[in-house]
Amino acid sequence: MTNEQWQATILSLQVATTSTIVSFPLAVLTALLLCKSRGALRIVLDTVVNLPLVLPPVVTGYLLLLVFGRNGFPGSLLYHTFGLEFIFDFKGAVLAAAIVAFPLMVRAIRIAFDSVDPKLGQAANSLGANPWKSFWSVKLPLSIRGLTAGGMLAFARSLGEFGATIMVAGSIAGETKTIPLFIYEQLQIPGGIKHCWPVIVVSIAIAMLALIVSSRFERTAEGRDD
Amino acid sequence: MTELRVHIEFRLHDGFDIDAELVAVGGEITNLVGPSGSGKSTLLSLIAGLLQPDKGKIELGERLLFCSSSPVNISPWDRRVGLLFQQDTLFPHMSVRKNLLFGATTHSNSPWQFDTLVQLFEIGELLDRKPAQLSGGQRDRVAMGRTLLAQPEVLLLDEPLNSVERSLRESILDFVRTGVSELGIPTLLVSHDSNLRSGSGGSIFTIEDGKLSAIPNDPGTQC
Repeated sequence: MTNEQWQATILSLQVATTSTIVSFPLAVLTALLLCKSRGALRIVLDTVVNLPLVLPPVVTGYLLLLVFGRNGFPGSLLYHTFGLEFIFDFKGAVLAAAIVAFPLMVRAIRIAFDSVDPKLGQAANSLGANPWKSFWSVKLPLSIRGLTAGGMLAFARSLGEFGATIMVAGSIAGETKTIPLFIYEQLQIPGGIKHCWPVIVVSIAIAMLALIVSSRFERTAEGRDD
Repeated sequence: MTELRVHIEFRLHDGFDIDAELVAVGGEITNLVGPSGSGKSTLLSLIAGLLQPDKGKIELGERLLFCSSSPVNISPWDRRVGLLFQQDTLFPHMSVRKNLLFGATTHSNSPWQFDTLVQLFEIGELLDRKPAQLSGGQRDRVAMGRTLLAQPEVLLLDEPLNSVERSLRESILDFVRTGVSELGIPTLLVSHDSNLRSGSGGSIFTIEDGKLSAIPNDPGTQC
């Protein structure tokens, strides 16, 4: 592989890993909120969380550009307070990947939380465990498969993110040019397709590895070794 | 001796009402009988704080657990009510040992100690197993052990030890009765098994369509 191909591969892994790790706690909290909320609040929250799933990624990217650009209030605040800049930056690629993958992660975690028998939580409560202890010692460990699945799904989705990333972060070599952007760029060049194959193979290998690791982790969580 | 005094009303959304007034004397086992769907388990959940009554009062000795007029509603985790569920509620990801020790507290005067209980309930060899590796009777015994080791101040037993072999069940229930008597804690027992009820000796309440009434003595076969 050439230096540029390696760069795109490593950058993709960095973006996907960072966005998954950063958004994971927020996804757990959001899934918990969705499980607990009822009525209008649940509908609003559910809609907002799932919006990036149905919006064209380019639209999501454009909205992120408006909000996190220096002219947007949150973007301006983050820039002037913490010196954080997202546009045409690695952080922008992470932000775009996290936002687009977020609904998948929340959905998997929510299903996992919902599938835990509520009687187990009640049993923990009647044995003196407050909701916090009950969550950490019962609900969370029993949801580990869903949490892992959610994390892996988000990781895989982040690896393939293109539309929102190019809008927010552009395609800067070594900074924001991930595998999909590298492939897109090569396809614009006559004969560039031959430079794509190594990263396509690497993409498939990473995706398969992610699925095998996820499956292995699920078996360990269940106490099976087969 | 601590008394459990309950006087509550509760309306379920499908129109089913619970209207209950009972006193469970400390050190005795009070029997609660009634047909399936009559509200026995719901009543236990109300006392344990897992459901909130619409009106009334629940007192455990001097302690007010619930009062709609004050209002007071002690959380389930602060009530010290040992509820043994009818359904299997062992934590599937924990070993038998961890299940037993979940919520266990040290109480030097209590006859319900880990080693005694493990020996009497014949679960010593199961301590490192997961609940999925246990039979129904073994799971029942672990669940009972877990409830007792939390050293509750009131015991609510919903169809306990149903799958346990008769002779072992009798010795476990004798152990529970002795503990209840020594500690002077009130106990409510829901069971369809008339033999189990007749051995408990305490007062009997019947519940039908959510309405509770006391009956003078154990009819043995009524349920």
